[in-house]
Amino acid sequence: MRAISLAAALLGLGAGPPATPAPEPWFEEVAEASGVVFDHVRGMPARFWFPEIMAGGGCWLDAEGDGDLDLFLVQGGPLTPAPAAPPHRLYRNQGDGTFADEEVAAGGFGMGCAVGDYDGDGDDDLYVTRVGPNALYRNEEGVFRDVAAAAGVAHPGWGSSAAFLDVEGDGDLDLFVVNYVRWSPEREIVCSQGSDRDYCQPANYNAPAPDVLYLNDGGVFRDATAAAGLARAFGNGLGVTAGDFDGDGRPDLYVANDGDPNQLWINQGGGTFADRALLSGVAVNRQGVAEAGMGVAAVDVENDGDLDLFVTHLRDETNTLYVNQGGWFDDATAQAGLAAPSIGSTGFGLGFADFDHDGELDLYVANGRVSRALAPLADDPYAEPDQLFRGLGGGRFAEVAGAGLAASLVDAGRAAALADYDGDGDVDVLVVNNGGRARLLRNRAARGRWVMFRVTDRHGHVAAGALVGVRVADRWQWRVVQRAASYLASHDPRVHFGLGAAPRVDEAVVVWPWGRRESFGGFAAGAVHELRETTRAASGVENVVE
Amino acid sequence: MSLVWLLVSWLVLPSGGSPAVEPEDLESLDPLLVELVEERAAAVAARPGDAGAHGELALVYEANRMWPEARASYENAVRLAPGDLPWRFHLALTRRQTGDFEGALALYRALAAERPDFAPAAQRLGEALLDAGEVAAARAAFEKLIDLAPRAPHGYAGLGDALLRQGDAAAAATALEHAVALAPGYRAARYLLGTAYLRLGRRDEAERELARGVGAAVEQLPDPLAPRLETYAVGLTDRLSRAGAEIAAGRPERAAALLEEARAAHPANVTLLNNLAIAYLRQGRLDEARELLDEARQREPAKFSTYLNLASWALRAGRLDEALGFAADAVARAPDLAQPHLTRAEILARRGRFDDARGSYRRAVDLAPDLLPAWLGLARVSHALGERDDARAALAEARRIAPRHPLVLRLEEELRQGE
Repeated sequence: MRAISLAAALLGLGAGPPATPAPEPWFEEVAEASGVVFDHVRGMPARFWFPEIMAGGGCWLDAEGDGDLDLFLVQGGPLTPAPAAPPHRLYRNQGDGTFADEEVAAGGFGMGCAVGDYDGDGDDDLYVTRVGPNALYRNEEGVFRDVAAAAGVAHPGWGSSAAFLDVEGDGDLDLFVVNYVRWSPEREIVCSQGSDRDYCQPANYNAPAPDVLYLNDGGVFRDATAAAGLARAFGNGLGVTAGDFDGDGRPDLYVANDGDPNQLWINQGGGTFADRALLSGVAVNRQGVAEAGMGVAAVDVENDGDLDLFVTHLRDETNTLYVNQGGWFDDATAQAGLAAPSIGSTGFGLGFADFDHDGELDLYVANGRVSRALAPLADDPYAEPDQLFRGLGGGRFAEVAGAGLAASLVDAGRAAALADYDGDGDVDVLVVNNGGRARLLRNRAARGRWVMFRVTDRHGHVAAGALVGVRVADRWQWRVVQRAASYLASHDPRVHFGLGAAPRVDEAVVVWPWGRRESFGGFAAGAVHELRETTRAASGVENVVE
Repeated sequence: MSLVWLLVSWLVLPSGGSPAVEPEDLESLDPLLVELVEERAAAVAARPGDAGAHGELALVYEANRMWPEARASYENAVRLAPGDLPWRFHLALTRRQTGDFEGALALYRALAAERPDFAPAAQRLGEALLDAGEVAAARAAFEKLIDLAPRAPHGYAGLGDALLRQGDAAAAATALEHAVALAPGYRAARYLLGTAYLRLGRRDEAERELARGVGAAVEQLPDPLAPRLETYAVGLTDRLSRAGAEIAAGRPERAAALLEEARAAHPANVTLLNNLAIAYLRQGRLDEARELLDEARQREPAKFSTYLNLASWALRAGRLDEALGFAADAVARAPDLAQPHLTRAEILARRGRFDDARGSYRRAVDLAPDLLPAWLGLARVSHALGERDDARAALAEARRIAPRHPLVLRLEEELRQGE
């Protein structure tokens, strides 16, 4: 008995302060029950080649234009040509909470994906980053065909995350692709941890790869990286998101680099960008240390109408919350309660949403190691538990025990993509696990009321980068329309607000990409509404479409 | 957290003693580390009631970033000797590293109260208070630290950080300027100083200091156990890192000693072979270096860095043609990396083949826009070719990267005189 009680006491070490107890689970894992049975293949065989441990992407998209969200999961597989390479998977939403599984030829070792209607034909197209030439799957009435070479976007590097956005304001979607490391099998090196072989770190290769901006010229792209000034700085890039970080109306880009300073590419207009990360305080941490940036989100945690940034990092570093102070950012991680819980984990994908509809943003973080655990928590020595943080208001968070699940899942988490896939008005979570099974976490936490908006430009396309605010009485909440965020992932394009007990929002406002602000009227809770850009203000018009 | 604890022996231990904390999968550790852990664990087994034995084992774990094991071992040491400052100080550190920020802060508070003359505790207390958002208390801790260690930059740097958080950028700048004056190489202080200048609207100075501060590593006041910690970092990665630092500091013989010891445990590690070869090259031990590089090439023929080191060897041996050949081998193996092109360019420039060198330098800066030596080389060869506009443009890029770097300043002067 003595020994047991000592062990029990010691096993409590490392957990930090006790997490907030969860009286009821926030999520239920329903992947298999929903027909999503996806096992990511780390390698065929796993040879400790660097890309193997970084992969695992997933995207929500509307493949058939039927209004519900389908799921695309990116497969890894062999890093050298192999006849039996496993395919990507498209899970078509059946509208009843289940999915029909369909194969999509992979054509190479996949990493992540981005979604956007690049050809303006009204449906979602799909860009898949790979180790080797990337793929652009054009949506042709629900069937996807790789047109990357013809479209000029088959970049041969090791792509990680990507984002569609309109950098010029000309109404079509351009494409920004983040590249990680200049890698090839011939460039692989041997690293070990202790006496065993393990994956190397990016610094071992000393080969950061430049990112690429493709400008859309009528459905065909041209590489505008150098002309845009984007070739002047790069690192081992992993995460990207877009938004108007300086409030000048133009969409900017933020790139999280692994072990190198991050870039904040401020759109100067005229198709050019300047890196303001250092001057804005988001290149490195508060002490000037370049951390291992993985996933990223642009989010307004303070509800003050500007975009803050959150970046996930390697264990022994903390994840970082950069709060926008108007022209510069302040590292507010510790004050937000997000430092201590993250120092022992390696964060990758993430997503902010008001999961419980209490009017405060919550946070889900997918964790997974990149080097073997000395004392593995599961069969996979790279597995770690994910984390859920409940928003307390005022930009503060508290960890929810067991990541809000009845039985904690321990996997090598990579992408986390958020969506209301089952149309019940709350936000669910997809987690893609490297070398493991994908998880679909159906929301069971939502108690209060909600409202969602499909935010479209005057052509009916998703208004990527638009900032949406809703007011209930005198309180505002803000969300950015941005699919591209997290890590190797693409979220639901709609914006979601939890409203607590409020039956409606009194006002909705959209700051459109390129700066025009438009006020809409009030909207009823419990529905998805469309906010469509008009040439004149539509204030006071109730715009319920569903 | 799933450590397996050696509990069986604890059941028969004398009152107050604790068994050694050991990781679950000891054999998977670096052999040199296994040896060290076993040695220290044996000392614990021999003296389970000795706080020092547990503390030494904890130090081994801490030095190798095995935080839960280190924390548990320090807990044992502190249980046995509650008044021993060093173990409590390091216990607080490992509490933070295992995510227990509040526990760390509580212990730092206690240590600072009990031992107000112990400067490292004052520094850590200040940092923990900043983490907790207790900025005024952090400021007081750093002011205390300045009293205790007025010639160290850490107190001023922490004070500057606290003042910045309180919105007093002017006072922060003054404190941080003091820190930088005491330790010009203290990058974290420079980064904070840049932030303070930015808040004050002194943008040019801000840009300069922020650029100097990027790439900082966290610096702490050394405590009495710090030297021992360094000797316990025996894993290969740590050894390579320490060897690199020794080489950079002009002490290749120390680097060689570190790596020779590691080679016994990692005879086939090509990175180690290359690093040891560099240490030998810096000592003028060319034959031994060449032997290692040939072995590295044999073991991993595709590794481009071996060819870069062979080029370096050939240069030192006065064999320029061979050096050029090795550089070309490196380029062939890694055509999209900047370093092989830079090495090739440097050799071509030495041979007076400025036009070819210029091409290689350009390729290098295309691949790595912040590679200072490549811009400097490009400026030099452009100047030698009489292309002064190109030389000036390349120099401007070098200035952008490192405006006050001695090589930049020297080249500015050379080009000015050349004109």
